[in-house]
Amino acid sequence: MFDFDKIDKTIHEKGRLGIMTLLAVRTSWTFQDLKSELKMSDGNLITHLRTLHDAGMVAITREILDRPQTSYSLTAKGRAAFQEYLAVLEQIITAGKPKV
Amino acid sequence: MQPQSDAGENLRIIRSLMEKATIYRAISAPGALAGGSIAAIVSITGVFLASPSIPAEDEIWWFFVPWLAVFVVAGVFNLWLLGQDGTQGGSDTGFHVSERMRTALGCMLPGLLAGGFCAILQSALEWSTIASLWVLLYGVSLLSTGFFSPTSIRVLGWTFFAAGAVLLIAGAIIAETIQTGDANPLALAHGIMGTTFGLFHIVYAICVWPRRANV
Repeated sequence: MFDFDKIDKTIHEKGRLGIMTLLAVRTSWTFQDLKSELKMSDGNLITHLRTLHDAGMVAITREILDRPQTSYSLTAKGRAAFQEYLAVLEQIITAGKPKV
Repeated sequence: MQPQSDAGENLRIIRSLMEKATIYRAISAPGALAGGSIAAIVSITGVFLASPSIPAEDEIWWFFVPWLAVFVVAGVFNLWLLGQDGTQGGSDTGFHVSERMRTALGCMLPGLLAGGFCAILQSALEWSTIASLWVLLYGVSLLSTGFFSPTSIRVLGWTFFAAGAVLLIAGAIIAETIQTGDANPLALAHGIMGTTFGLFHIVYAICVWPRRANV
């Protein structure tokens, strides 16, 4: 029997799952790019990013180029947690398949 | 809650986001339709108005300037559409240059600039040859975005590349026809531009439009 407590609840929420997926694809994302890709409101996105940052999964970089810009990237902990999450999803699907 | 279907759904979300995040369409369907239509109109007008009696020093006004204007108008409109697309879903309005858009433009720029420099050869080459070079280099420019473009852009790139190559290979035959006085070189150049930049973009827009929301 699969232990569903293994699922990382921080990542499992769909909004945060989207953020983690995009951050796993590319080294760094600006707030604007994340927002346009995920079609989220500012407030929603900020809340999810804060949750992931508080959990130590996402690093925040603030730069002032021609204007202030905030970028987000995965921390080593975040990357490991995402890989673990994918492995758990795979296990759930495998466990549900009828044995031949 | 059904854990298996939930897990499957989440894996689908992950896969679809990863695909979307790595694919970028540098030419939007509405941009291609508008650009292609403008090019077709300018081409048809050019074919009818270009007369063999136009002095060589005035040809720049009858060919290069109108096509430069088409390039600027169609390019700016396409960029504006892509920039608007990047702001969809958020509270912000206006133009947004995403990192992928910057990358795509950076990839396309050398090919486009090379095409622009070909116009300098105008004193040595026929406009039809320069038009063929533009077709070829535009194809190269599109193909340079190939590693993150959807298949349709790559197909469009190869179509332009092949058309440019065929036109250049056929250049000697075309030049011979012009020498015999059977054809109008300026009208021929307008025809090449209309058939490629006009027709190809319109066909691309028609093919891509139904699924543009998914890419």
